[in-house]
Amino acid sequence: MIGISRQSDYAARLVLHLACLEPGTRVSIPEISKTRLLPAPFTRRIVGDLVKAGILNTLRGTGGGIRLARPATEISLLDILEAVEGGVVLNACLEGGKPCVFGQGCLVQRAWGDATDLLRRHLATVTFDTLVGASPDHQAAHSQRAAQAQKPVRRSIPLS
Amino acid sequence: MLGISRQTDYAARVVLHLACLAPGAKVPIADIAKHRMLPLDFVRRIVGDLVKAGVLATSRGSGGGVSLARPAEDISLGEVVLAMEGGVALNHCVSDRRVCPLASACPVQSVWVDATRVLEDYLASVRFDALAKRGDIHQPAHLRVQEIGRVRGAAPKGALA
Repeated sequence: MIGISRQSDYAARLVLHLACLEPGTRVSIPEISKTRLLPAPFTRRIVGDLVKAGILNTLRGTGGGIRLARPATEISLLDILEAVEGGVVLNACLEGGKPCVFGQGCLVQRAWGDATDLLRRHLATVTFDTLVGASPDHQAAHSQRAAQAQKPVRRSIPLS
Repeated sequence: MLGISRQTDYAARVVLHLACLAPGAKVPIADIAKHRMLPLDFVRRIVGDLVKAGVLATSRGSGGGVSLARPAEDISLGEVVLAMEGGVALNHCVSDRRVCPLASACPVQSVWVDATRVLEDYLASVRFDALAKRGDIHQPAHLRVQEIGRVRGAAPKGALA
């Protein structure tokens, strides 16, 4: 299946969470994991990738946390995929490092190239401010879900 | 990296090779592997997948070989991706919304759905007859690199002649 990794899925949700808050708001990683139902260690690694790519920044200590490094209008879904997947390139023959011997003359390469351009252009148009605009129902669903998750769960089998 | 597997890359080249020949041409798998410089065992497996998907047909015995199961204009790059990758679903919530309890209200889910459709539609629009028509640059390039093998069943057209 042609698709994104779970990391990219989670990264998009994490950035959406921050984009939904007041500009400049810092939150802790455990708080995001809880609200967005993401595993904390995984979230930490993803945050690392997004910081390296200049999408998020972190501040340590009291009042610290993570926030968007630039306005949500300037962060696209393509930015996220490039940061986490290492790129959106449908076929390896389109990458600079290891060109195919037939290169330019190859007809399928051109088709993979056009498909890559199309997908990249599409993902670049999706910025996080637009996603926030489409998000009110979603936020409510998350808050409700997070509240449910906090309630103690009665287990029939005692944990050893 | 978001992209196709090596199998799909090779599968597209196998189908292109057959689409460049005269309609109905049958060639041994070994010829395709040689012309397109692909590992033979790998090509065998790929041909199996493409036959199962109804893209290629095989016949045994003398004069047998692999051919397109349908005219090249009826075979799209999307079908090859479907046969090899199982399809395009940019995120797992695209093919099955039940994987996420919040999918129906999720703004990112609908974006993955849209992007998946953009890619699928494009791949469905790329037909192998159109790719083969532009073969006048590509075929000589292959021939220069690799010596010609046997082509059975029909006279090759274009640069292979």
